[in-house]
Amino acid sequence: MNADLARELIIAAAVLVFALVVQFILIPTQIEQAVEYDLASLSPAFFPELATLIIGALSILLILSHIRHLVKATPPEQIDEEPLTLSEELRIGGAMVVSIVYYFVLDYLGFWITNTVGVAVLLMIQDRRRIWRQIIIAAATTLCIYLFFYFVMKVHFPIGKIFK
Amino acid sequence: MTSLIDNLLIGLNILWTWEHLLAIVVGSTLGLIVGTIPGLTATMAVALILPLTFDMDFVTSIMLLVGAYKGGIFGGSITAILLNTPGTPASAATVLDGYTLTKQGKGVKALKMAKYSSCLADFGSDLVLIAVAAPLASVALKFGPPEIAMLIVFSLTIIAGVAGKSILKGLISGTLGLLLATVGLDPIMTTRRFVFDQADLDSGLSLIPVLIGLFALSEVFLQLGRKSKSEADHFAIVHSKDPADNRVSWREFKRSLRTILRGTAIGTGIGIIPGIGTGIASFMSYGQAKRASKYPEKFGAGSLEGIAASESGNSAVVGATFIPLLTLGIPGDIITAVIMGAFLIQGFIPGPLLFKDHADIIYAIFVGFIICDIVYFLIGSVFMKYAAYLSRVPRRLLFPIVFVFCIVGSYAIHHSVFDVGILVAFGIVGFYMQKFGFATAPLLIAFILSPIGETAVRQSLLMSSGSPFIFLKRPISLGFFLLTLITIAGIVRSHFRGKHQPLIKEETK
Repeated sequence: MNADLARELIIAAAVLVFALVVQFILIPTQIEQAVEYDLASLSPAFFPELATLIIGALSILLILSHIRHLVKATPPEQIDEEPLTLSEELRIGGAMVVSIVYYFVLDYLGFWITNTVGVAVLLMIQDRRRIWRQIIIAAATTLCIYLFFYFVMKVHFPIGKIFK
Repeated sequence: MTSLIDNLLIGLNILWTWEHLLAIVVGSTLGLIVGTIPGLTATMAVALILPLTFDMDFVTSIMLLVGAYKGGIFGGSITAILLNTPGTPASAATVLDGYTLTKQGKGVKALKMAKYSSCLADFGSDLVLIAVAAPLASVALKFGPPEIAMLIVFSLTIIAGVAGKSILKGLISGTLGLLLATVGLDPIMTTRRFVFDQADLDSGLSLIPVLIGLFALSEVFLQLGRKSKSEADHFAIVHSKDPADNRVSWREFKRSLRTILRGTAIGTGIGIIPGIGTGIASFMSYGQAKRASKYPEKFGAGSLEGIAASESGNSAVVGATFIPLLTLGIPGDIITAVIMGAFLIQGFIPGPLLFKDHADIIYAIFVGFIICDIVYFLIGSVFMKYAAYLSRVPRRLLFPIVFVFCIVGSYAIHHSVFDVGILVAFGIVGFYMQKFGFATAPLLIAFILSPIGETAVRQSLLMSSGSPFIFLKRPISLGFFLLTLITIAGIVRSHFRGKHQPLIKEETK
């Protein structure tokens, strides 16, 4: 079995598992069951269940189509045209980590610190030279955006819980 | 006809003062600026301007707001085309071809086509508003829940066209959009669904962070990771020096004219139905343009027709949303609801009596709509010139700044840090979806359409005491049902004949 086909089968299986988890774990626990409802109005769980059922059925069809490719020894439809290199994947992973950390600390550190540090790190992910220049660019960007949004758009950014 | 022209001349006479014209220019400029920034919508521009209008005279205040509305909708297309970052949900369909053209060095050409089609469609929709507002508004009143439900079901057939390389994966993506749209309070019984004890989720996942995450942040991640492989690669936007790549030729415009007219008709039709919106109109127009095109394979690969379809579809909604507002006193969308507030604050009650008691002022506003189209065409031309300077900004500098705009745009809608979390989550989801060959457009279309659809289906069933035949008993809903069947049959037929061409050639990352 070639790597592309194996990857596609794993993706299809993951989608099926997702559908099963939603159907058998999330829907029963995360949709409040109304004590009574008019049958005509449909249950609140009707549309989520319908969507999950369709996702499950489509993932099975996807698995079957990949198995057909396997039997016929033909390549799957999805082929990486320009795969990312390991260093590119790492940089993308780094950018994702920065955005996740940004979200978690925004409330605590406030917009000024979070944004300056976040943008500086993103700039450094791409170019590790001239670190001071990157920090100045990040601080200037933060200042400009803050001023525009605060005074023109009346957007009040979090000042940070630790400063309250 | 004579009385219409007379009324328009009276309106022009009232409007032709420097205050009114300045209001149009200022409103259009502010709308363009706000619409260009990802996450900041035309709604926000209009809502921000509203308090400034309290002390103005009525026509000036309405012109300022209408300018902001039109400019805001058009402004969204600029960053959609140049940075794969739709400024407003209305421009989501524009990224499909616009950004592809930018990557080919034809960003300016794409911007110009967006400008021509937006202004033309807006103008067409305004003419409809002026000429046949009243009879069209009565048709819109015939749209009850069953008709809206079937319209949404028909609109969902667009998903097959934007499914990407694998139709199965596209359908999975679309169905995931349906599922995600159910997060929050159930629209009929207000029971909580998938909220995980988070009060922030009660109102569902906010559209703006989902939209920016799927399209813009996922692209930012990719661009931040990619290494420059050549000198030209240092810049985020490729700029072709060939003059043909920087203008729309008469031939290209003529080829797209039919698409623009179709988009205008679709946008106007959607606009007069209260509560549907610009996003749906642009996707619907895009889907229909692809089906009717002689070159469907070019859609998603940088088709000017694709941009013309999307932009004409969303811009034509603007004038049409005023039809139910002015004739029946029903706001067509959130923005016209805000503008209705301006009417009421100034002591004017929208509705049939407005035409009877203040016809001169209404026609002044109508003339103002047309002048708005001309003004934002001119301001848009200047604005685009400066937007094209983005091509001189190095990629390593531009995308961290776009990242900040994504964050700020998501935060600004509800002043909510939680929305930033939704943005980040959907940025990551969007990146991996595209990496594994799942088109993100179907998810977004279903996410936008299904809340309206679910509410309409369930209201319809309540109306009929649970009988699904209500959808077949009413002529308009039956018409949409038959159209849906015909479209699905066409898709299945072309798929089995091996002729299925996805609307978007989704890139695998």
